[in-house]
Amino acid sequence: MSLVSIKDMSFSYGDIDALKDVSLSFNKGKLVGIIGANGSGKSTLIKCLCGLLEIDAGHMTFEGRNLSTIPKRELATQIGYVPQIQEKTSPSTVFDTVLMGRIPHLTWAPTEKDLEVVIGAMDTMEISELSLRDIHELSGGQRQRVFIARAMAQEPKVLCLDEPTSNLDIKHQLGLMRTIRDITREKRMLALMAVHDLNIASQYCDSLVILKEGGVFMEGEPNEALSKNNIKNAFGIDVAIHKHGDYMHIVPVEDKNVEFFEN
Amino acid sequence: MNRILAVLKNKAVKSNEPSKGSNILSDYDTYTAKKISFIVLCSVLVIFTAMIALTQGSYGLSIKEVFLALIGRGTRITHTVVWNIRMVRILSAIFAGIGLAVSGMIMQNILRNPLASPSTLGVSHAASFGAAFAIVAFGSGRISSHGGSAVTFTMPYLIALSAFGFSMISTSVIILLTRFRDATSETLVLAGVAMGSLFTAGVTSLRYFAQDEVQLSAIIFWTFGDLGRTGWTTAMIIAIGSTVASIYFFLNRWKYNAMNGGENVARSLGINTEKVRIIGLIVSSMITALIVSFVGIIGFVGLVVPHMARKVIGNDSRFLIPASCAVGALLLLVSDTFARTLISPIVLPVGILTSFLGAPMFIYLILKGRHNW
Repeated sequence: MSLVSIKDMSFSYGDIDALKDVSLSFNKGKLVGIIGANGSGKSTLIKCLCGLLEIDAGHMTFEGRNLSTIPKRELATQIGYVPQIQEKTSPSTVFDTVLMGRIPHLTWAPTEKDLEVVIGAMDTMEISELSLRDIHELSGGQRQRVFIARAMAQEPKVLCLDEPTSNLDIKHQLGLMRTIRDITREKRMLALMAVHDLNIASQYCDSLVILKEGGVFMEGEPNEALSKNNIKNAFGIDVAIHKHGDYMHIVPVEDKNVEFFEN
Repeated sequence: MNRILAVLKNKAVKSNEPSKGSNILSDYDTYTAKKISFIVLCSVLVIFTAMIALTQGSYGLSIKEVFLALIGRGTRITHTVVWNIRMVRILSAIFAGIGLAVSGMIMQNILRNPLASPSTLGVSHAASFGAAFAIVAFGSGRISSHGGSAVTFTMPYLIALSAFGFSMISTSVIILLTRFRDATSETLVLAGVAMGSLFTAGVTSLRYFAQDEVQLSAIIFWTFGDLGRTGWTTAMIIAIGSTVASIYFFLNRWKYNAMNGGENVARSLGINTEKVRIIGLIVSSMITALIVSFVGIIGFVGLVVPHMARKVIGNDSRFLIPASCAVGALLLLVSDTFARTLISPIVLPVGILTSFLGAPMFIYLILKGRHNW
C-alpha cells in the first residue's frame, strides 16, 4: 500500500482550474520532486496534500485513510509543511520557531520529549548554534533550515516543501538538498518538494512528477522523466542534455523562435 | 574552539548526557526565566504603585493610615476614603488596563497587524456610541450626589449590552475585511479609523437629541475615559470580565503562537485559523465593550502596551499574554494616579492622558513600519 495516493483529484480557484484529474501515489523513504512551469499547479498540489486547500473532486488517501476526513490536528502530526520563504513571519527565536512544530502534540506545556524532539530537529538541520537567535537575523539559507526543522519537529511521515531552494545560493541549495535527501532515507519519510531547478531536481530526487497546466504530464525517475522532448513539452524550451558521470546536466539552448511571453 | 571548550566543560559535568542538547536547554531556560522575571517584576510594581496610589488624593493619607484602613483598623473617614473611593478606582484601573491591553495583544496577534487595537479598529468608538445611544434612547442616565463623579447610570447593564452590540458592528466589518486576501494591515486600520470617526460623529449627533443636561454630560463623559465613575459592582464586573478573557486567551496561547508563523503554517499545524480569529475578535471586542460602557474610551492602552511588553520579552504568547496584562495594569494605574494628582484638586479623565501618551506612539509605529514584526 502506498503511503499517499491521489486519485482523479481536481482543484480550482474560483473559475480557474488549478489541478485536474491528478492521480499519483508515493511510497515512504523517497524524495519526490514536483516540477513544472509557473502556474502548472506545483504549490497547489502541495497545499492540497497538507490539507490547506479543500479539493473539489476525486480523493486522496494517507495510509489508506481518506485524507480529507482526518482531523486537522492529527493530520499535523503526520504531514509537515514548509512554506515558501516569502511568507511573512513574526520575530521569534530559532528555538521557539522549531518548538511551534510540537503544537499539534502539545496539551499544556512542552514535555521532556517535546524538548528532545526540538533539539534533535535542530541538530539534524545543523542550526543548534543559532538556538536563541531571532529568525530575522539569519540568512535565507539558515532560515529555510529553521522552517524545515519546525516541520521535522512535528515528527511527520510526509514532508511537503514548497520551493525550499529558491532564493538560496548554489552552495546552500546543494547543502539543503543533501540534508533533505538524507533525512528521507534515515527516517523513512516521504518528502514531496516543488522545485524549479531541473539539474538540482535530477541530481537529488528519487523520482519526479512533471505537471503541465494542472495535470500530470509525466512521472518517473529523473533520467527518463527529463528527456529533451518532455522538457520541450512541459516548459516550452529547447534544451541540450549532457551526461557528467551519473549526473545529467540540462542546458537551455537559445532558440530565437521560442516565444517567451506567449499568451 | 569555544564550542569545543564548551562541549568539554559540559562533558566534565554531565558525562552521560548529550552535551549539546543540555547546553541548548539550559540556555533556553535562562532565556525564559528572564521573561518570567519581567512579568513578576511588573506585577510587584503594580502592587507597589497601588499602595502609593492609595495615599494620593485630595484627602492626604500616610502609608500607615492606609495600612491601618486596609486591615480594618482605620477611622471611619480613612476607611471610606481607602475602601469606597480609592480602592474601587485602583481596581478599575488595574482590571481595565488588563482587559484593554490583552485585547490589543490578541487583536495584533490574530490579525498579524501591529497597528491593531480596540481603539484603532474602531471597536472602542462603536462601544461608546452604543452606550450613548442607550442613554438617549432609554434614558439611563441620572444625577447622583455621591462619589467623585456627577453622573451614574440607572441601567448599567443595558448600556453595556448596547455598547457590545454596536462594537460588534466594527468587529464584523474587520472580520469581513480579513477575508479579502489582499487586505493589508493598513487597510484594516484605515477601515477602523473610518468607523471610529463615523461613531464619533454618531456620538456628537446624539448630543442634539439629548433631552437634558444630565444626558448631555453623560454622553460627553464617554468621549473621555474616566475611572472615577465606577462603583464596587461595576469594578467587579470589569475585574471578572478581564480575568475571564485573559484566562481564555492564556488557555489558547499555543494557537496564538501558531498564528505567529503565518496563515498557512498555522493551518498546517492543525489550527483552525478562521475560528481562532473570529472567536478572538469577539472575545476581545466583548471585553472592550464592557470596559468602555463603564469607564468610557481609554485610548491607546490596547495599542501601546503589547508593543512595550513585546519589546522586552518577545512574541511568545505564553509570556506575552501575562506580560501584557501586567504592563497594562501598571500603565493605566500610573496614568490614573497622575491624572488624579497632576493638577490636584482637579481630576483629569485618564483617557486624555493615555491619548497624549498613545498618539505619538501610534505615529512612531506607523513610521517604523513592519520592521518590528
